[in-house]
Amino acid sequence: MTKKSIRKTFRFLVMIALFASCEKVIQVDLNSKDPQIVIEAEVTDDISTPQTVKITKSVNISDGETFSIVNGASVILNDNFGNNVTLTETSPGIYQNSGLQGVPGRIYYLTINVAGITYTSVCEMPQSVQLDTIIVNHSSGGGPGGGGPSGPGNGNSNRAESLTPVFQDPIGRGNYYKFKFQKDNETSTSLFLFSDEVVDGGVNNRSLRAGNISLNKEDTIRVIMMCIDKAVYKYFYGISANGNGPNASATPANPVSNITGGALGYFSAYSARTKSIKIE
Amino acid sequence: MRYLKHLFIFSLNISSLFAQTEKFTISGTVKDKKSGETVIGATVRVIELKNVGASTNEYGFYSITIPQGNYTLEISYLGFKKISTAVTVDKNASLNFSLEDNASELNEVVITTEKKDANLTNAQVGVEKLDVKEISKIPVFAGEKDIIKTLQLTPGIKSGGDGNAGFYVRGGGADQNLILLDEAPVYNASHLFGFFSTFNSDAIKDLTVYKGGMPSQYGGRLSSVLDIKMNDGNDQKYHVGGGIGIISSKLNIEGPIVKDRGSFLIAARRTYADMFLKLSNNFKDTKLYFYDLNLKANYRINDKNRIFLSGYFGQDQIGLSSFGINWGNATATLRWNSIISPKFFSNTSLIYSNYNYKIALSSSTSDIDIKSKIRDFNLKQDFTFLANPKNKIRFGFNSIHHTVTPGQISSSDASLNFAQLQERYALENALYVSHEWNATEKLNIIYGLRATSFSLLGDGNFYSYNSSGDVIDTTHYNANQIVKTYFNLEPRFSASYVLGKTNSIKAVYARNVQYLHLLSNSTTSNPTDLWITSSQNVKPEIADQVSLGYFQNFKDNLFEFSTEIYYKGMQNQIDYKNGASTQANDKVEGELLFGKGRAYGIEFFLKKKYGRFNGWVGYTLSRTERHIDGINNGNWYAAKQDRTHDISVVGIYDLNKKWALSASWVFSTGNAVTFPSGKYTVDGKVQYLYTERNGYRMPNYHRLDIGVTWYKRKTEKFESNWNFSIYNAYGRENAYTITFRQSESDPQKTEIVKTSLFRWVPSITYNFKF
Repeated sequence: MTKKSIRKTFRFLVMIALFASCEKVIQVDLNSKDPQIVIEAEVTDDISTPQTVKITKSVNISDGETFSIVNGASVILNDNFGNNVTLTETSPGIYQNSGLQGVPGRIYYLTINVAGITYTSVCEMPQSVQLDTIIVNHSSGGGPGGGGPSGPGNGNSNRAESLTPVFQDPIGRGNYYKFKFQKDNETSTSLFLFSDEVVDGGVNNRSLRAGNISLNKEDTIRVIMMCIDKAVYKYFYGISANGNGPNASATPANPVSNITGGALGYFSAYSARTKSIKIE
Repeated sequence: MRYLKHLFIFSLNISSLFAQTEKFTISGTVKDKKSGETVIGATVRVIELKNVGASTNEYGFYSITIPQGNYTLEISYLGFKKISTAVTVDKNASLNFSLEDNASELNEVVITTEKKDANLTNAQVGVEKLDVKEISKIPVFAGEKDIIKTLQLTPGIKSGGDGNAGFYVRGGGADQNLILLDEAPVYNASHLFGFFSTFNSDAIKDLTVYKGGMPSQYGGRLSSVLDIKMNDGNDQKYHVGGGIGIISSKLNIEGPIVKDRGSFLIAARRTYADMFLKLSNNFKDTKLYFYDLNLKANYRINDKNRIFLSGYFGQDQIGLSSFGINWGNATATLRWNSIISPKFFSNTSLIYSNYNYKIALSSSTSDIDIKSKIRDFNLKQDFTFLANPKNKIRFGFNSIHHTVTPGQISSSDASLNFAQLQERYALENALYVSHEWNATEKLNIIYGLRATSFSLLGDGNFYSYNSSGDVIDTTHYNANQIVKTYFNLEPRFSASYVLGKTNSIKAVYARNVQYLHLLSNSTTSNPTDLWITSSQNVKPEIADQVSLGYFQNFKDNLFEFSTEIYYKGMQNQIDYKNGASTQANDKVEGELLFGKGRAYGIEFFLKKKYGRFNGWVGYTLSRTERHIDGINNGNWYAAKQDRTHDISVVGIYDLNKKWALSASWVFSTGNAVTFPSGKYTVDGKVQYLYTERNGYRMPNYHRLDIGVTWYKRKTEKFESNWNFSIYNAYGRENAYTITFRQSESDPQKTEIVKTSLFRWVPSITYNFKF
């Protein structure tokens, strides 16, 4: 959060320096790279969500699309209680199975075979944490990245700025959270990642900003809190470090994947809690 | 029998040798008559004896030992009238000299008083000296003359780029420069995220930078030593000087405490960009400024003993409504110069240095502070023994106690259980000796040895890590218990050999060891970059450098040309792992990777030293690479600061007594940078695919700055000038960053966006002195 603030300030400083900083779209001659396999695999204890693996390939920067689909892969999921299922391709590049119910504390094994190359991964599903309530924030009230809850009636009351998921972080470091929210069929694209490495065992007051989903009066918003494993947290932390976001680093690199075999992407076994709230 | 006879003749010879060479020592101090400032590097020559001479040390002291007789002493220094005086040497004597300023004639007369070919015979290689008077005409950003920015116009010293006060010397990192202000280390030499350096040039007397082959009294950093000396203050008369600019103003006062015995100097500077901001409603609560204060006082107890007290205090304040950051350095040096005997000079210093930053975040529920600090207590003892005109021995010790507080977070809300970061304590010791030997008329040698030790001390928990960076063992150490000690020997050697009347060659070897490391993970020099100590996991960085130089003067020393070639091998270089988490991480050592580095290149420098038109051209061809397991598949890769070509051109033209024109132009190959070579989608968002570290280049950087100085009035009592300058005169849009993003109009398409900062920054500054 501090880095974000510093960057904000730095940009601000540059801006007010009264010297027009200018942006221009330029051409850069980039190398092309053989397509790489990208795996996004998720196992959850939420019965309404089937276990899903998405397999795609990378493309060149200059291409007019952002990925290509991988068909015909073999996808097998096991756990340490002897359960074993095969995921089938339900739509192009999407492999699913609803037969295996995720259980926190179990260890999951993923085996994928694409064109003769095998990719494997292991992930333990963390224990779930209770999501107590959602607070709707109508004005920012807090600092950048902070954003404490503020009373209703401030600012523009027709539209909320952010939501604060209230939950008690269990004592002891090593809890990692990822949030999403949904409105109708829209899902938030912002990457909401929390960890208790800096503050342990507190009641959360960090907020989730609206982003691509507007929080209008009368909207019903579904907030999903995922308790994720450390390797998955580090993967997404790596993603955020590549962006222009709060953790941006000078030397971008591919995030460290928990999948062996040279694939990009991640395998996350997560426990989920959801809560819906109506914006008033 | 024959043997005995020989012995007899030999001993006769010896005794006659002694009889002839009954020697006496003349010593004393050379001062500037007008200001009473001691003069560093003034030449004292004995006209009758060829090649017998000395130059004053950093406290203006000289010592010369010559046989009994009648001689003429000549004392000279650039910009001052030469003194010639007849002396009868029949006992040890103390002779002090005051040189008279020649500045009023500087515009028309070619000054010939300096020993003009000093650059040829000095054994040091890779040394640049900057005359603070000389740099005042060079155009600079926002009209604030800045010694560090000017230094970056010389070969081998590269700027960090727009908005970055960090600099790179011969491929070293920005943290590998030892910056000393009156002997006190300055840990962060930048103001306002690097737009200005912390050194107020009004308070600076002398600056020397060693790019390689630093003498053995210096140590602790790999790349360079920047030794900055503050003015002592005028011990004759009170003076007030200052400057008013569009961004900042400054004022300095100096004068005698007791005439001829002691003086003081106070120099202060503050920016006021935020005062304009306050006029606008949007920025009412905004704080944005820096200030700094230089203080110095000295007192001559008697002819043999002198005490100095110098201090620096600077602070940056940046604040928005709910967020604030401030950082600053404070240094203090108490020094005692003592002339123990005419041949034996002692300097004892007690030094304090503190760098800290604080970030404050406030929200409606709680206030959060993040504090970080590095604090040193330092004792230095240095002896110089001037055995004879051919031999000078310098030896001493240095002992530093470091306290490093990494960004500790605390909150007004006691229920929040923040990660506890531990303070680290360490003791760094050094013993050194160096011998400067004028072996023959042509050969000068300086060699020495520095023995260093570094001990990491308790109290605290110390971790060991496995290869994936997880803690496998924790050991607790009590206060002052030694956790780990490193010993290192750092040999230093440099030699010069005069080939002919106008040319010489020089060679250097030096090893340097660095025990404190700066972890930086962002493109700009953030004040929040983390300093860490060497430990059981982080080994000291070691650099070995060899360089060879050729020096040639032309046209009666009007032109100076030099070329130096260097190779530097570096061990135990540090980088972050991909995706390392660095904030408030007690186990940050588990996020690091270690490897080696190498830097090599050739530098060319041509300078016209005198005349109405003077200036220089510098060119560096170089390569800087790193090799770290876990990065770039373990292959050598270009370091960020690797720039193949680096050119700087500086010209100053004195039109007449009133007007001086100046210009500087720089060109450099763009920094090495990591760009993606593909893209893919994760979690519904486009991600970029990276293949190799620093495999691409930023666009080439070039920029022209121009300036005009108008000397409005110049009398004995009052002088003033106006300085007009334009930074980036032809408005080159140099790339500050290049980012990749998906087009807003077509989210499937990727756009590459270049951001540039400054085009045409004009400034006006009014300087005065009375």
